[in-house]
Amino acid sequence: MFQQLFTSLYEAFLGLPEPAMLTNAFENSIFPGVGLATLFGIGLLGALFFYLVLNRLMTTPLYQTKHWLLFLLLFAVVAGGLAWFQAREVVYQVLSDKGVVIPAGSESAYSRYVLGFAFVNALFGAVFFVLWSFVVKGLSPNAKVTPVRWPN
Amino acid sequence: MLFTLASRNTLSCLAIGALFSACSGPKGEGSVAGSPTKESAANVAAAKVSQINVFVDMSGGMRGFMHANDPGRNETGSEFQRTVMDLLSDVNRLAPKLTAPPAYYFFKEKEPTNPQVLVPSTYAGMTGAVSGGLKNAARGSELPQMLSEALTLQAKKPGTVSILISDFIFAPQNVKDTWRIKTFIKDALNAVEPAKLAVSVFANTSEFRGNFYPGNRTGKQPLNGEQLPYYIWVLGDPALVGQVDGGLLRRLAAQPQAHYNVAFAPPYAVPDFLTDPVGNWTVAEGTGATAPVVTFTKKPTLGKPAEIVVALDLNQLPASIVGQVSANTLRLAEAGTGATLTQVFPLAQMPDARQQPALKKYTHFARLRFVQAPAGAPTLHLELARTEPAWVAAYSTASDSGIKKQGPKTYYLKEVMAGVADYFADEPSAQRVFSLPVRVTARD
Repeated sequence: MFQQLFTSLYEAFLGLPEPAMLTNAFENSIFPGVGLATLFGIGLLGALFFYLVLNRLMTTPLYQTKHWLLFLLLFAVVAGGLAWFQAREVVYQVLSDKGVVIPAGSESAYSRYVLGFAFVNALFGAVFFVLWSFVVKGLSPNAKVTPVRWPN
Repeated sequence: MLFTLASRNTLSCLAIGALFSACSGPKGEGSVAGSPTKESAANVAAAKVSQINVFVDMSGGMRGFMHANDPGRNETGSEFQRTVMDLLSDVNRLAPKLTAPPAYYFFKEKEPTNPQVLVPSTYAGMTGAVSGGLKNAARGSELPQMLSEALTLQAKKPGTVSILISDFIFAPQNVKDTWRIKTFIKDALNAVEPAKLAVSVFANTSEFRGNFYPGNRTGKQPLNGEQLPYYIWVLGDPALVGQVDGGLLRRLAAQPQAHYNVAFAPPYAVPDFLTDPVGNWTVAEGTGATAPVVTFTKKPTLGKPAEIVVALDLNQLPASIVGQVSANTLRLAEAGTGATLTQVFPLAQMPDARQQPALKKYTHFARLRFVQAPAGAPTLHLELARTEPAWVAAYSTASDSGIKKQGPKTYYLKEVMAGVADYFADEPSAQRVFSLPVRVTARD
């Protein structure tokens, strides 16, 4: 289910993997792996870190919306980096398992696709963090109204 | 902590993958087609040779091949002796791997006083006779009888492969019966169902010193070192004969040969790492039991066709068969997909092989073109049609009474082989050398 969900999410932005020889690697491994890590590892854990750790367990002054925006930016960068490194690692692993290289004509398509994937995942990281923020912000006494008062 | 996630990306996959098992990783189904050598190996390894029966014709006509050699005169044995000794030695060496020890038999014709046809022997007895000459050679031998005796014996133990060594001169008692040779052979084989039998014939010639007895029953002719043909026949289960041909008999690979219903399973794959793929498709590699699956990620159309390339490793196939592989002999059972075979080319003409060393283990490539999306997930088969080998006609003669002038020919060999072909005529699997499945499907 997650495999299909994330595959269609990413491919809606990026199109089919390029070169086509990497389709299985992306669809069966990279998209679901990175997607889940971004949704839970970055979005959920990031929101819990901001609302529960910084603004409930510890009482830091980092409760304002500008701090929240900083963390949003940070998690977006982390999500982009995760996508970039994970995609390249899996791709190189697949290529060395098969003993093949990316054909010369497809190298630029490959670079473009991985770069695009990193940017799309940065966007997803930010979106997931925003969504989780609204779920968990009620648990934080200090940052209950960050970034906005709604729905409380 | 989140930075660790980003830099040690495997961790993220481990931590979350453990919960959802969505991280299949590059070694799971995530890997793309490749390493196809396992496929057919698994197919063939399923059946195992349990016993080998070796039959050597001991008719008087065979004596000329088995001449006692004189090392003082620098005699190194006839081609027949060298080949058969090697073969017997290889069979003997296989003994520990077989469930029953190899059995050796001499074959002779039925005599009024002695109806015995098979004379059991041993490895020592047989090598002694081949290297030192036949003692008490029989007057003759009957080819159909030899075939049916071998088949009867091998039917007693499933998994048995029979190796028959003879000049295969089949001279019917009545010279007027030569036109029936075909039927005699067919009838002899009929003891077994064609689906469960495969026949391989390897031809060779060897120096002949001694009396040659022509098949048309004219007088004997003394020969002194002239070349005469002899044959090694392999009978057994289709998969087992394929194994024996490629293993035990690989020394004979360069000889003229004919194969009937032998289950060759050359390794193959659909490589997805070509430089300029046509169309959008991905491949899930096949395993021993399953065919590679090609999935069109965009449906091919007449305007935007898709092309896949099937890579074949024909190294294990007899050279005579590999030589036949071309766009004319390969055919595609397209299973209603409308796919066509557009091109067949050898490795030398594969430009991508320079970049992709993984392609170098293949010998031939076949390009298939799709102009429409397949309905469902049909299975195509890339097949090589069996053709009658050309050497058979060249080795055959209708009269061998002047063998010295004719050169190496066998009496009515063509009819003998036609009998074998006739026997397999109604067996679909015998009409092709191999049949390689590829499943195709399309995404909505």
